[in-house]
Amino acid sequence: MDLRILNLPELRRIYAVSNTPSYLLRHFRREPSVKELADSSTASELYSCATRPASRRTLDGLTTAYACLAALTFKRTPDIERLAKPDDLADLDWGWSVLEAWRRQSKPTTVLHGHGLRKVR
Amino acid sequence: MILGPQGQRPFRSIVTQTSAGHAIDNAQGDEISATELAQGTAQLAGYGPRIEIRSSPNPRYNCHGMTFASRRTQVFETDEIEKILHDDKYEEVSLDEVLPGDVVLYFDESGYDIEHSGVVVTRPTPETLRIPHVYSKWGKGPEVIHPLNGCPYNPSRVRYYRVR
Repeated sequence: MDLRILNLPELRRIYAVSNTPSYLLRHFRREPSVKELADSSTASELYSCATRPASRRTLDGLTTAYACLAALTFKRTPDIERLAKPDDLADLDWGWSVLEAWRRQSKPTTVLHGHGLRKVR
Repeated sequence: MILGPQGQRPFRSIVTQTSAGHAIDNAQGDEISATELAQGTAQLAGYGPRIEIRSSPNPRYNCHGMTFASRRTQVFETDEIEKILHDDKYEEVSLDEVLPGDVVLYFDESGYDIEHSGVVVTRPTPETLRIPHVYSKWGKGPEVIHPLNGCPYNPSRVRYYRVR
């Protein structure tokens, strides 16, 4: 995996003004470099980067860890659920909360629409 | 050390309730990098001279914690904010009625998720193009006094509330 893909200036800006884990996740997922990182990395690589304690107390370290978590949410749900353990993420204030936000945001909601069902989220 | 239900890091939530006695989910934060502390408020320079910084960065509380929980903790979930609005009997007010002290909520594009909150400090007038000034807390950063639209959050979906 190549973390140099990440658009750190923009991700730092988003991270700095994030008020909630769901805001952080939504806006990180919209940043194209996060999707690019997801496409070019395996779920395991992303998870181990997100849970790596090194540099955790630097702004770039924190931003990169959350970017890897956000990238992980582009992966297959079973892969994410297999990897994700609260203990691994204990060092990140919003680590587990970001994954919980992903679970909520990815929960499909169906509404009756015309003659069939339409997925709205 | 008391761990959370699945062994995660200790809860740092405090007893916080609505006026009806319902618990408000919350968590105090402590995660702030040395860089963020060192940079202080420099990162906000891009928002220009129209903003005024009124505190230091503080990860303990977020915008909703400032607006609804006396700066003691972070409140994350939209459901929790809705619980507060309901139990504390907030009522929505129109832009024409907005007064200093009213709460402003910023919604995401879906109109459901509350991305940000703050408190109105000046009423909207024709002289200010009907844009009120508010103070709000930006992430783990400082509290900022800013025009409604002079901040990183989407100003096109805001609603104002007041306890009558």
